[in-house]
Amino acid sequence: MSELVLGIDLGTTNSVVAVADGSQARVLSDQAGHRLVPSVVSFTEDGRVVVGEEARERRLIDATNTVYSVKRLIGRPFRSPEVKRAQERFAFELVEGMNGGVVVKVREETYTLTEISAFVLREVRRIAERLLDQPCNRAVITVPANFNELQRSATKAAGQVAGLDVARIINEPTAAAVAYGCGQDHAARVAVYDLGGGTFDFTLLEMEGDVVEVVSTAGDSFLGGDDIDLLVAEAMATQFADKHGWDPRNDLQAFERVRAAAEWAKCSLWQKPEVKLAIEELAYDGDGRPLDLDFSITRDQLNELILPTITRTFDTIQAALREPNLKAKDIDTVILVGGSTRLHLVREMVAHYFDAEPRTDIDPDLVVAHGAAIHGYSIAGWTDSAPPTRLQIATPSPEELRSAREAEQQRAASLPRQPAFAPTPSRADKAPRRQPPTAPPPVPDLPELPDAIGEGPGQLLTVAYFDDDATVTNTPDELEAALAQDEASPWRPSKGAPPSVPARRSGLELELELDDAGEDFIAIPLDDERVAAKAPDLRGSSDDLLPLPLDDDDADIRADGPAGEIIGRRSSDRTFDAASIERELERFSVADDAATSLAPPDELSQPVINMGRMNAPLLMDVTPHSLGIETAGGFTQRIIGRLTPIPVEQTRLFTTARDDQPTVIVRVCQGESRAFAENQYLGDLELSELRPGRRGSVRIEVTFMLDASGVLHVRAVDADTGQEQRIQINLLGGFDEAEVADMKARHDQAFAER
Amino acid sequence: MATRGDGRRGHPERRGAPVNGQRTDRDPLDRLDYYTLLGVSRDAEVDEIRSAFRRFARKYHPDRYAGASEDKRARANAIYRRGSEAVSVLAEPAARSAYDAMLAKGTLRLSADARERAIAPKQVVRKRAIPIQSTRAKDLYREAVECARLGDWGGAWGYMKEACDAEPGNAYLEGQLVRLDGKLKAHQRGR
Repeated sequence: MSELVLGIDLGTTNSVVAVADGSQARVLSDQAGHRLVPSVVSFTEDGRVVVGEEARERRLIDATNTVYSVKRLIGRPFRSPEVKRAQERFAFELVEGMNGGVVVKVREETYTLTEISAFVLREVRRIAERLLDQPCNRAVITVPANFNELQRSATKAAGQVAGLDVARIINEPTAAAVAYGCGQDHAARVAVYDLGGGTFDFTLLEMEGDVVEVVSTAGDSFLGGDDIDLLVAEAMATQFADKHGWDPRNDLQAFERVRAAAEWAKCSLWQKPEVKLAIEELAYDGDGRPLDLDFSITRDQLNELILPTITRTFDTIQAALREPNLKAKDIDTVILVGGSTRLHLVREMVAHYFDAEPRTDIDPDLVVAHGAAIHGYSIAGWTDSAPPTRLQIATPSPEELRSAREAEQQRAASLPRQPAFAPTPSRADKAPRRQPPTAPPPVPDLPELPDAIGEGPGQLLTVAYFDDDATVTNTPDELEAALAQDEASPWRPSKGAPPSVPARRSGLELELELDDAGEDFIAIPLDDERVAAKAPDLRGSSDDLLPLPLDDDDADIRADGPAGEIIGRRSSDRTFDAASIERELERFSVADDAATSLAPPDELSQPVINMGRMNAPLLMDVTPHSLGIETAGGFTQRIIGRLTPIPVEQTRLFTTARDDQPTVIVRVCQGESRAFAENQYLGDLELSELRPGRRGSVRIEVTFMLDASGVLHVRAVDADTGQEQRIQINLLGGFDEAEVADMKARHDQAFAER
Repeated sequence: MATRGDGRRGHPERRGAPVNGQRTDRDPLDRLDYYTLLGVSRDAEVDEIRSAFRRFARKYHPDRYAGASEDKRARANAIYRRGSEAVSVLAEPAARSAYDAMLAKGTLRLSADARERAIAPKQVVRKRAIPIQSTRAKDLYREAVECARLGDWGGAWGYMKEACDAEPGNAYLEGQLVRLDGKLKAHQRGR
C-alpha cells in the first residue's frame, strides 16, 4: 500500500514536520502558525501532558516536571559520561532504567526517553493530520549523522510508540542536501555544516545527477546551541552572584529561567549588536525584597565566549576531510543547517575556512524537514497505478489563529516577567548575510592535517598504536609524520590517486564494457528466472526493471544545462534559487493572505520548497561507525567498516568453545578502536538452542545486516544443516516488541486524555 | 501494486523460498564476481569503481523499488547489499589484492574476516613498535602526538616532558622531547 509519508525533523530543541506531494515540499504549522514545535514535554499537576510551545513556557515555572533536550540522551547508556553531565545541568530527574538505559522521573512516574520523544512525535503528527485532514501513519524521521545503533533504534522505537510506521531513519545533513536538491549534470562536492541544539555534524556528499552519495561524516554529539546557552547563562549567573551574593545555579528553577533568558539573548544577537535584558524577581534578599537580574551582552562578547566551542567544530571537520583525503578547497559548496548556524561567528568562521560564502537560502531550521519530506515522498511507493494525490493543505482560519494567539497571551500573563527562548525570526530580520568583516574575523589557527598520516589505505588506524607484536618497519611513526608535515607545505598532494571527481561515462562506453564481459547475468534479474538484457539501461527501463515512479520527467534533468551554480540549478524551468522561492511564496500567498495580518513573524519564512517535476534524489548513505564484535583478549573485530554504503550485510562464522554448549554470546560494539572497551558497547547477540556436538563442530553463520536506516538486524543459520538458528539481539537500553507495545498502549491512553 | 511478471517460470515457493530476498539455490547473484557485478574491468581505478557503484545504485538501490512488490524490494535489497560488499572490497587496495588472489582460485566473494585480515596486517606494517614501557608514559606520549598532529607544539612539548618524567631515562622519549623543543622554538621565532 502506498501511503503518504511525513518528513519529521525530531530536533533537540525544536521539531518540524513537512510533507511533499511531488510538486512541492511544505512545512506544516500549528494552530498558532508556528512551524517550530519545541521538543519539550511537560507534565502538569492535574495529570495533563503538555507538548510544544506551552510545555516550553513551563520550563520557567515548573522546571523539574518539564523535560527537554532528550535527544542529547536518547539511546545513551545511563552510565555514560554524557548522561552524567546532563544530570548536573538538567532540572528534571534522570534515573537508570531496567536495561541500562535512561528514564526520566516526573511526578512519581517514570518515562523512557523514547516515550518522551514519542510525545513530541505525536504532537507533530497531530499537526499534520489536522492540516491534511487525513490519517498520517508513516514517517521519515531524521537523526544526526553520527547517531549510533542505540540512538537510531531508540528513535525508531519512539516513532512506533507514537503510532507511526517509521519508513526510514535518515541523516539530517543528507536530508538537507536533498532539500537543496541536485540535478546538475556535473558532479559537485557538497559539505553540510549542521550545528543544531545539541549536536554538531559535518558531512561530505557527492552529488551527481539525481544521486546523493555520502562520502564521509563526522560529528560531535555533545556540542550545540544548548552549550552556547549554558555558557551565556553561566556568565549571567556569575554576574548575579558577584552582585548579590547568591548564585542562581543553586536553585534549579532560577537557573532554568536564567538559561531561557540566555537563549533569548543569544538569538537576539543574530539581529542586534548588543542586547540588554532583565529577569524580574529572580531571587529575594534577606528582607524579602525582590532582586532582578540585569544583563547586557554585545555580539563581540558572545563571540569571545563561544569561540572555543565553535573552534571544536573544526576539529570534527578535519576528521571528516581526512578519510576521503580532501581539503577545504576541494569543497564546492557548504550548506549551513541548524538554528545555531545563524550565529555570526559560525558564518564567519565557516566562510573563512572554506573560503566561500556558505549557502543558507533555505531556512536552516526547516531545511531538514523539507528534505525528509522529499525523501518520504520518494519512498512512499507511489507508482503510475497509485499516484500521489495532490495535497490539500488547510491553513488555520483567522479565528483559529486569533484564539490560539489569545490563549498564548493569556498564558504569557501568568509567566514570570523576563525574555525567554528564541524570539521568532521574521523575514525582515532574518539572519543577515555575512558582512565583510572590518577586522579579520577571530579565526583561530586551524591546523592543517598532516598528509602523511591520512595517506593511503589503512588510514583508520589510531594515532600511535601500541602493539606488542607490531613489527618494526621503516615507515615513520606519527610524531615523525607530524614533524615532517610541519616542514613541508600543508596539503601536499598525497601519493595516492588525486581525489578527482569521477568522470561520467557515456552509455555507449558502458555497453561496450558490458559486452566485453560477455556474461549472461550482468543485469541481475529482479524476477525469478528471467535474465535481463545484457546491457543494463541506466534509466532502468528494461523490461525486468520496474518503471520508476519518479522518473517520468527525467529528460528535464538530463538535459544539458550550463554549468552554473553548483547546486540548486537544474535545467528545467523550476529552480531552487531564492527568486523562485519568492515567486512560489507569492503563488501561495492567496491561501496565506487571510492569516497574514495575524500570523506570527515566523509565518513569513518560506514554507514551501518547490520540487518542480524533479526526480526525488536517490540517497546513497553510509554507516557512520564501524560495527564490530569482541574477540579474545578484549579486542574488536570489525564486521562492517565505517562509511560502508547501506543497506549492507556481512556474514561471519561462529563456533562453540565447549562440548554440547547450548548458547553462544557475542558482544557487539560500534567504534573505530581496536580495544573493545574504547568503543560504544551496543549489547549482545545470543545464539541459543544450539544442537549438541563436540566443541568446534557446531558452526553458525551469523549475518549482520544494517538496513537503509542504519538499524542492525541479525540472522543465523547452522552452517552444516542449513537450519535457521535462534538468535536474539539485546541492545543496551533497547526494547523488545512487547515493551514497545506496552509503551504505545500507555501512550495512547495519555494522549487520549489530553 | 506490481504483480509478479507473466514471463516467470516456476514459483519461488517451489524453487526454495527466498530468504530475505536471497535465493537459496543457484542465485545468479552468487555467480558474479565483484567486478562483473559492478560492471568494471579488473584493472579499474578506485575512482572508476566508485562511479560504477553509483551507476549500480541508480539501478538497484532498494529505494528505486519503493512502489514495487515485497519480492522485488527484497531482491533489490539483496543485490544492493552485495554491491556494497563489492565496493567496500574493491575500493580498499589491500582487500582488493586479497580478493584478486581468491578470485584467481575461483572464489567469488571475500568474507568479512578475510577482508579484515587483509587490511589488518597493513596496519601493523605501518606501525612501529615504540619503545615505551609504562602505560602512563604511553598515554602521555599519545597525547603529545595528538597535539603535534594538530600543530599544538607547546602542548606536545608539555606532554612529552611529562612522558619523560613518567619514564625517566627513556632515551627515545628524551630524543623526541629535544626535537619538539627545537620545533617549538622555531615556531615561536616564526610568530
